[in-house]
Amino acid sequence: MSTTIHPNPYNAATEVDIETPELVGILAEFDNVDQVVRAAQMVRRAGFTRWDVHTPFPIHGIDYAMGIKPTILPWLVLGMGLFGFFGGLWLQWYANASAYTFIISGKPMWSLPANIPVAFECTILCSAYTAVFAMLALNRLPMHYNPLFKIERFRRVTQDRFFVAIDAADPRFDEVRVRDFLNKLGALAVERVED
Amino acid sequence: MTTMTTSRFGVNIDNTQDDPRVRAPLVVGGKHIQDVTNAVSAISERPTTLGWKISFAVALMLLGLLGVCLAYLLTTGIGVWGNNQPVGWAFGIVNFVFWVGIGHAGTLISAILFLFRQNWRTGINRMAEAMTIFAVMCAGLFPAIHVGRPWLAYWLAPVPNQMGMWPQFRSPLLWDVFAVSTYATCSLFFWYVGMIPDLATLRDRATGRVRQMLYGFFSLGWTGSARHWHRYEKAYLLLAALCTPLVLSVHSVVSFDFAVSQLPGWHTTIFPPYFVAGAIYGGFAMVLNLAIPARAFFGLKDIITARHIDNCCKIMATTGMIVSYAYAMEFFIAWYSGDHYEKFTFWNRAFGPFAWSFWVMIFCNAVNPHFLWFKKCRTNMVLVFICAFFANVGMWFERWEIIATSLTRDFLPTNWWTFRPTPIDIGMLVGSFGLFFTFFLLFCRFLPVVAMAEVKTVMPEAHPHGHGEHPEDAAVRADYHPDEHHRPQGGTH
Amino acid sequence: MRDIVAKEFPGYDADGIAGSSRRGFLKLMSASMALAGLTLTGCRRWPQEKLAPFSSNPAGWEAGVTENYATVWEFGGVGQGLLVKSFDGRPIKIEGNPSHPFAVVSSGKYGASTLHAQATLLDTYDPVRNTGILQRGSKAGAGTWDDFIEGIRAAIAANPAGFAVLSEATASPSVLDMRERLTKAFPQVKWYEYEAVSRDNELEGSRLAFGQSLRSRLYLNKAAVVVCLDADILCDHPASLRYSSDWAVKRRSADDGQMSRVYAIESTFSNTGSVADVRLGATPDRVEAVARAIAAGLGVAGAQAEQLSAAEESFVKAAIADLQKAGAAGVVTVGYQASPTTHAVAHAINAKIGATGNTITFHADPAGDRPTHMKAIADLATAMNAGQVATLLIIGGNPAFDAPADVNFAMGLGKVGFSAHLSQYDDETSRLCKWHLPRAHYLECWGDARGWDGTASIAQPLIEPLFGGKSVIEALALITNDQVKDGEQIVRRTWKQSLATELDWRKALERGTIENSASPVVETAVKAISYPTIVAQPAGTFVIRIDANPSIYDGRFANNGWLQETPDPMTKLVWDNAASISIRDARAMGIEQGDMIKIETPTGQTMEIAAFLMPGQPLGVLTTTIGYGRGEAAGPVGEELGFNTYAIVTTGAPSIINGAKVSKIGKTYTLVTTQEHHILEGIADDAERVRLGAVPGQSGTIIRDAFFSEFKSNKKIFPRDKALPLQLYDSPRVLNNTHAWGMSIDMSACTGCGACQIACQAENNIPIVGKTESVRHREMNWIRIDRYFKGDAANDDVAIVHQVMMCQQCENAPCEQVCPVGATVHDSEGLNTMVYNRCIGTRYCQNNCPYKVRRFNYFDFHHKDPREKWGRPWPGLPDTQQLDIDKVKRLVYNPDVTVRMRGVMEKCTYCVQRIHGATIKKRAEGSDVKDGDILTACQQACATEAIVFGNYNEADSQVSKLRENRRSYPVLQDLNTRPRTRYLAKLRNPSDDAVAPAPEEA
Repeated sequence: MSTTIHPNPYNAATEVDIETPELVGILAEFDNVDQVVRAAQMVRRAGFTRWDVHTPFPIHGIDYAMGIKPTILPWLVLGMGLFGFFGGLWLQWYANASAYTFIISGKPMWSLPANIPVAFECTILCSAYTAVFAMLALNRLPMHYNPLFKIERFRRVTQDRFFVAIDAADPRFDEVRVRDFLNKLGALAVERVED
Repeated sequence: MTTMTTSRFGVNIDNTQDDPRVRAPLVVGGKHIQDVTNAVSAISERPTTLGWKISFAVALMLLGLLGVCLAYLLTTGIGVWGNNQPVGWAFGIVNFVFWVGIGHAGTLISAILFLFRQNWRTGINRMAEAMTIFAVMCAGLFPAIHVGRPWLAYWLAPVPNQMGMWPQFRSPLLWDVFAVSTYATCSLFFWYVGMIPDLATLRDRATGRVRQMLYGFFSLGWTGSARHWHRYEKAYLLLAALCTPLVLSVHSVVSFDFAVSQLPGWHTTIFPPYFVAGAIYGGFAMVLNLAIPARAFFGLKDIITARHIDNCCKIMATTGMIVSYAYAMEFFIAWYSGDHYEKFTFWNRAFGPFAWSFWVMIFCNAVNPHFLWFKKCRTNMVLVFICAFFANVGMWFERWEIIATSLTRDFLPTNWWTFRPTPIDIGMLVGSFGLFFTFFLLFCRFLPVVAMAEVKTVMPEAHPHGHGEHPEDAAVRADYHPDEHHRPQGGTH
Repeated sequence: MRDIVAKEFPGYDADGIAGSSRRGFLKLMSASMALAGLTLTGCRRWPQEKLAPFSSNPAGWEAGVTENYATVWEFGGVGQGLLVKSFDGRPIKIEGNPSHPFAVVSSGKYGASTLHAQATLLDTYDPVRNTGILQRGSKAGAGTWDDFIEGIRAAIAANPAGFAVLSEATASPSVLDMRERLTKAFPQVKWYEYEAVSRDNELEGSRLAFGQSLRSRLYLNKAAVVVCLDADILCDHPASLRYSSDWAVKRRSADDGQMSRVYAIESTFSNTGSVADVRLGATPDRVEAVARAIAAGLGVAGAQAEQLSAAEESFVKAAIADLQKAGAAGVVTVGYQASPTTHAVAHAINAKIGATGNTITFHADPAGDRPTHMKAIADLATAMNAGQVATLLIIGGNPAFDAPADVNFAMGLGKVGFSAHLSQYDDETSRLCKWHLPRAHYLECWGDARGWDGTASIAQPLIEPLFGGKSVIEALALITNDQVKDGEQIVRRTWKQSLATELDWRKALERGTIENSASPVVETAVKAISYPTIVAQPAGTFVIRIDANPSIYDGRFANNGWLQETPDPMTKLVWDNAASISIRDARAMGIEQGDMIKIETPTGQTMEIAAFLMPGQPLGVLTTTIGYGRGEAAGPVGEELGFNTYAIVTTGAPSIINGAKVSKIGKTYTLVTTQEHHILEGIADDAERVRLGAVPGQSGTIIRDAFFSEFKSNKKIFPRDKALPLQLYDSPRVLNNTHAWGMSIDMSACTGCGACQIACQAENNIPIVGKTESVRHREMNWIRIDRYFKGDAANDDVAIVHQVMMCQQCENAPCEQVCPVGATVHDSEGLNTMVYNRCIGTRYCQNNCPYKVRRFNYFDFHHKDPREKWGRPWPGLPDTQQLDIDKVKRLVYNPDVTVRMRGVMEKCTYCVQRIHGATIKKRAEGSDVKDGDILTACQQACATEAIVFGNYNEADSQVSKLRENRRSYPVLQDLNTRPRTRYLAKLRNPSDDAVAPAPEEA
């Protein structure tokens, strides 16, 4: 689900004057791990649903603090891995024992031991493809446009700063109180994210 | 935290000694998170240095040499190599196995050490993975061009060709095709996935439009979202778990090329583990040969620390001794089996016409590692570099011994002949290093040579200390519609 | 290639010849038209028409179907009966004529042929021959026959007494007839005959013994004991096919409990010596001494016992004992280099033991009364140098190159006013003559010849002269202005008495021989022989023995790549000659393999040559061969190779030079052998010992051999194949087919002559690779003859085993499973097939083949210049070699076999094209092939019938029987490759009482 600040559809619909930038969320900057983890706990407890934390590196415990459920990625990988294994076996059976058979070194047309390595490699290959591309898909990546990139200070999110962003589309969103709330959590700065 | 580190160890500290009371820091020199970012990004941000230009020019020249040899080979025939009637495989396949072996250290560091939670890997894994990619590129080149009709090499792929033929899956060569291509793909994934956040860093630091565009494009719009990090880490873990058996399988499969045949000196069950150990030995040697100059030139001494080098040396020493054991065991089995041909083959290796290359190998792979028992040696970068260099030489000769000398003298004495390399043989070996270093230098110049995000995670500041609730939390929350029984929301799938 | 040829031979128009242009094509067609009538298969005839539209085939003509024609090739004055296979008007394969008494094998199943006869096919299509008539010194350079005739007539008219003809040795009735007519036309003509490789000593010997020049003819199939005195009767003899075949009969009979015994004392290491039961190396003078000692021992009148060494003593004792026991079933034979006295002594011995008339008969030599070749050439040279020769016509040969060093032939030739050379090549002699006249190849013209016993055959052309050219008789007819100028008519005229009717003529052509034309047996008694004292070899000197080169003979085949690349049967040298020296002599003089040595003869001739270390070479003897060291005149293939040994040949000592000084000079030379002997390397030597069964109580994994006595007494001397080791799988059922092809190779019968190798090369379009590629061991021969030394090589005490090695057609073929693209797979009849267009050339199969019989095309060898050092870059599209192959050279190819391109693997296929050709033919007739219907190329060339091919699933086929033979075994059976090719162990039959003699003392 939401990983970025989405422009508010209702506002967008009602918006007449395209000149005035539209508020898509509020961004708060923190400068250390402890604060951002605490902020995350607070925001979650405050019942927000459309919000996110941005950090330069994965932080232990942030998943718990934000209440992120485990991803289904491993199951996808397992499934595709199995597909790869049996697909690989089938390919070899079809190619050498069914579609085009030869007598090779007096061996039977189908002898499993010779077919294990390729089946194994197929397993790994399919799994690896799944792991990478399913991860990107679930993360909705690549996404080269993002309103957050318009905010100067957000550039440090990939270096040494930590951010909490609350989406304007969140049912409990109220700009003034959210700003106030985030300031109370010790944010270095709180900014509007506009689109 | 930083202050603590510096206070205990001083700025340029030796983090190679293990003090049970305190976990030795993996980043030294009083580095703060942002210092890591700066140190690493600077390499790709500062203008090109003269040293880089010179080395790149040299690499390009070698690459050109490879290109010329290749053109001559393709237009004229495999005969421009020294291969002959008993010796069907020589430099081509030796180089192939050599380069595949080099690749292994990269995957080992990134995958296996990751699974073992060896945090020190973070300093060197990016460089090692890059090394893997480029080594596998070199490796992949040789099997493709060593066939007699390279323009038909695609018949190895399981696509029915114009004769409605399928490949013959009992052939170890075909296993090779699958193993190496899978290996190349997975290594590439591993490398790229690991690099996404760092590319984002470079993107965000970039000033020029072009750099912003390029880094921006390849970093896929990464925002460091915690929800992304969650799936990202899972995917990374899975890749590591997949690559671990893969890296072991690849060189096993390569060794099958020989073990499955019945040539004395090839037909040996010990090959898979022996080849893997050798690959790791040679691979780590190459890592050291690359990392030691790199950390000096790029000012990464505090990130790729003496401890990293030390650990690599220990792995080299271990695998080196495993390899020595394998050598000994081959001779023992040759004698114990009572197989006449086997006996002769090994006797011939040690005392036959190619004895010199055998003893070079023994020195480089069986004697050389024992210098690494001594910490004095392990912490002396010059000595380590030399040891590693010898290890690489030794590993090339090991493959030469196995492949070429076994072929020169097999069953029927009337077939016995020798092998003399041609200038093209030499040229392509040297040229392959050109290919490798061209890409490696480009990598060093334009990409994050250290996995910044990962290094940061192993720095003390990366670990939250606040547990439970802050005293004033309740108050703060109270004025935003308190709701104690609020269940976690905004989960992910 | 094309432009190289163009440079070499101005005016060479490949297309015109190749038949790709209409004119050329019709030329070929008309040639085949003209001949297709004269087939073995029946009397067909149709009008000689120059046009042959395929739209309406002439009767009996079927495009794309090969026809066999019988013909004869005269080689050194002796005719060899041949059967030539022709495809669409071009000869593509030469085989032995089964109806020729000196070609047919003992079983009568087929005709064998020598490697030279088979290789002449390549000369037919040698573009170098395309010179036209050359008139040196004239403005045009080229001339016409008319100019020439005019010129020579004028020259003779000017000085009739100064007209001389120098001919190569010939017994051709037509040539002799034309010679008479020439003498009639020009009564003062002097006719000289010269051959570099001369058997005059034999004639001398027979004159000593019988007072007349007689040829001896052996019947080895009746001989229980054969004593060879320096005689390589099995390979280096005009009748070697007959002799080998007969000899093999008495070897194979070992299975029935009796085996002949062959003694050989020789001054070199010859093939006959290598298959002899008791062999002794000795200098020529000792050979004669031994001959006399045997004679004395048998009580030949006048013979005295000589002083003998221990080894010679035991040799002689054993020989005498056996000869006495054998009586009429024994025979003593002498080599052509041996002294006349030795020959005479042998005749005396044969008479004494009653062999004469039984195991040996005598026949008049066709030209026995002529002066010896050496005398002839000397006389001519003297006459020329004295300016007495104004007009010289040289027929064939190449005297300017191969005349003895002491006669100054070349200088004399310069003094001759009008000189012409009728020759296939514009060679050294042609270049010194005013005229070069292109001579038609024997496959291009009519002629006739006589076999060793005088059996006459007609030579019929298979193709019109590709490069113009005339036969000897046609040329002579022109000079004498004979009313008959057409070759066929001349031959018909010669034979008009004995072949009166058209039917007789036609029969003679079909059979390839003329009945009752053999010269009758001469009954004659031996006269008293005088025994001049033997001059002993001066100490510290060497005997230089000069043999004909096994490949290029006296140099006439220098431009024949097939022969250049056929290894010397003993040394395995290719593309070179060398001086074989014994290991002990070499060690004593500090000579290594390939060191250059200097030879100084007592008569003052010197030469430098590379030394070849040959185990078993007699002490004090250097064996070298003639024919090499030719210049650019030899042609692009043969030039600048080896060393010219004619430099030390003198009329006094044509083939044996006594008292020569040999010294080492600093230089070395690259000698190329297709096989190394590892005698000087301890490790390898040990390794071989086990494999060759040289370890007592162990039977070798590669070679199995035994003494005949053991073989008789011990039924279990050769372990049968062990119960097959446990297999993970049973072989697929599909293999159980009505045909299970297999082969059996009898190592007791193989003489290692190498004919099978050329046969395979011609049949399977196998390219030559050249010396520089042979150095890299990339020769392409599918079949090779492995030569193994057994015994103490370092002390020259060795026996040799020849083992023919080609694809073993393993049932569990190691090559198949490792091929990633399925390019080598098994067919249902058990053949290990090689699919060229499927092969991508990984060479893995070759690595995994324990017999290393697979050959890889490292380059496009078919159009690569064999003398080129490096592969020429090849910007053309992949797999387009065919476009680059010379248009004339490609005429030699067998249309049934793919011409392999670079980058693919190839190997022996049991001649799969012959197998399927025969089976399809039989199927069409509604029957199935039976044993003997299919002969592989190698089998068909083998005079000793050592190679037998057949069907294991046919219970009474020869191979099935041979598989049950006690001697039968597979090579490297422990690997469980289950080869279809099996070998019959080698048996030796040294005398039971006398142990095999020790080597002679140093």
